[in-house]
Amino acid sequence: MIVFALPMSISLILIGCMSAFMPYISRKSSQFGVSLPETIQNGEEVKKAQKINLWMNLILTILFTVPLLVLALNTDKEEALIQSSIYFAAAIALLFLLSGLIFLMLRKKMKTLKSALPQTAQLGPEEIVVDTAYREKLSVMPTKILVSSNLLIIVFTILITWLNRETIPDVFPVNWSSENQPAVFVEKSFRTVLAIPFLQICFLLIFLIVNRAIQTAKQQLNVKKPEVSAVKNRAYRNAWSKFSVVLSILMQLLMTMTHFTSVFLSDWGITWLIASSMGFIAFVFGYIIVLSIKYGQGGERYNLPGKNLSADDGVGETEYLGQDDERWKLGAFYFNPDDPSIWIEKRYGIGITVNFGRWESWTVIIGMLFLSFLPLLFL
Amino acid sequence: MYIHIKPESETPIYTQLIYQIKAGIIRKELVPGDPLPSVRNLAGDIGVNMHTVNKAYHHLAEEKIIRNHKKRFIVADDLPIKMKKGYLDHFKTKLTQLTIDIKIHQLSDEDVSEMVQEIKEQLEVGTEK
Repeated sequence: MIVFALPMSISLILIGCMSAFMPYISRKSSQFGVSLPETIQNGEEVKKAQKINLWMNLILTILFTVPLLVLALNTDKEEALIQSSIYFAAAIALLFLLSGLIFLMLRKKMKTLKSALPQTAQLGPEEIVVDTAYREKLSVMPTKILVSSNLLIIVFTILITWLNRETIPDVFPVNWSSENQPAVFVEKSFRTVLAIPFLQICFLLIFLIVNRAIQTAKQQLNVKKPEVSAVKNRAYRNAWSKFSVVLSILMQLLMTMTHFTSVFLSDWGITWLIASSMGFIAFVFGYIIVLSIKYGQGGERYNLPGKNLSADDGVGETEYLGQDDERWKLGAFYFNPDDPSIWIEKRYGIGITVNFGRWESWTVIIGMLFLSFLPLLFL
Repeated sequence: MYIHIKPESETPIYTQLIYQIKAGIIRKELVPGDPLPSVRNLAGDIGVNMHTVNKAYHHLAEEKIIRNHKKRFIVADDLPIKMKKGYLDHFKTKLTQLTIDIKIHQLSDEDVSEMVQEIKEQLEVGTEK
């Protein structure tokens, strides 16, 4: 009964926990999308907001997960699967919406807290500090390694497919039922057989954009300790760049497995494929959690090996940015037409986002969406 | 080197950039052949228009302090260089303005040379590293 209920509940719990714990791994200098001066970064008010966010999200997660387990008790497997799938999609959307509302409510609290401070305390730093050799010293994974490793898998996939083209049946499955039986079939043609290899190429292009983004995203150093924040930030970017290359290779392998299962091994390959997918998801989530806890946003949580560099005074490594809040719409979307940066580290949460105020960013977003949906035309 | 920019300062950002880079060269934080960040990257990091960075770089290139090399700017390797005629005039204009201020505020020669000495000492910091 729990074959599908288990991954669905785990996904819901993971998403809920991510929202619940996000403030703790986000930058100290910005909580709930509001840039906070050092004087209140460790204050009671901020801690209280973090706790409210934690418990509200955890309670929501439990409330949304219980019905999944109830639905799974249904003895009619097929019906249970359909009901659970619909419920799951709705639950995820609703969970996102409600966490978003909690976020906005707490954002308002942070804004009130900040506006109560004297005017002088609200002002940002007078200076911006930039390391001219920042990107020379930054080592992200070389494009060569990303491209060659991914291409190797893609070429191998196409080659094996071509060598065994005779054994591909006239119709092959592209979808399986809950009983692991082939459910949807397509006719054999160049287009249908090459759909997944084409998808693999599109994914490689997306990963190239991601790696480039990690390299070029705006550097934001703490004026008082530029060396420390630069070293930490580079360690953070290096770790995520490695992760994205590992992720790209695993995804390519998974897609190759899917492809072979579909065209060659439709009768028994699916069991292996499901097991590998589960392993893949578990590994990727585990990796993301470890990186998020170890490095935090922008490397803030990263403990430097050398003691002489780590000046941990409990204050965020990233500068308080004063009145920059207006540039972050809803606390999450950066919109600044005057800033030529296309990629920028997120203000809340982990990772990078785009500057929605620049047309270049929109071409990147549209390009990435296009690359993700283009392969659908093949099927 | 670390470039410090004060966005709200009266001094235009491109002027601040020019003198930050020059000071970096004097302190040997930037040595001949060192590449400068690309215009897009530096403008993005500071959060200013690309024209601002372009203007500073071209000004420095005209002074022959930096030069174009493989689509980037690098610190020129034949420093120090003799002041060009065009820049000498520009320099005289700035010196005239300062001299006018010295006269009108009646600063003594000692005051001025003390200040110059102090500034020079500040610029030496880091050279010993």
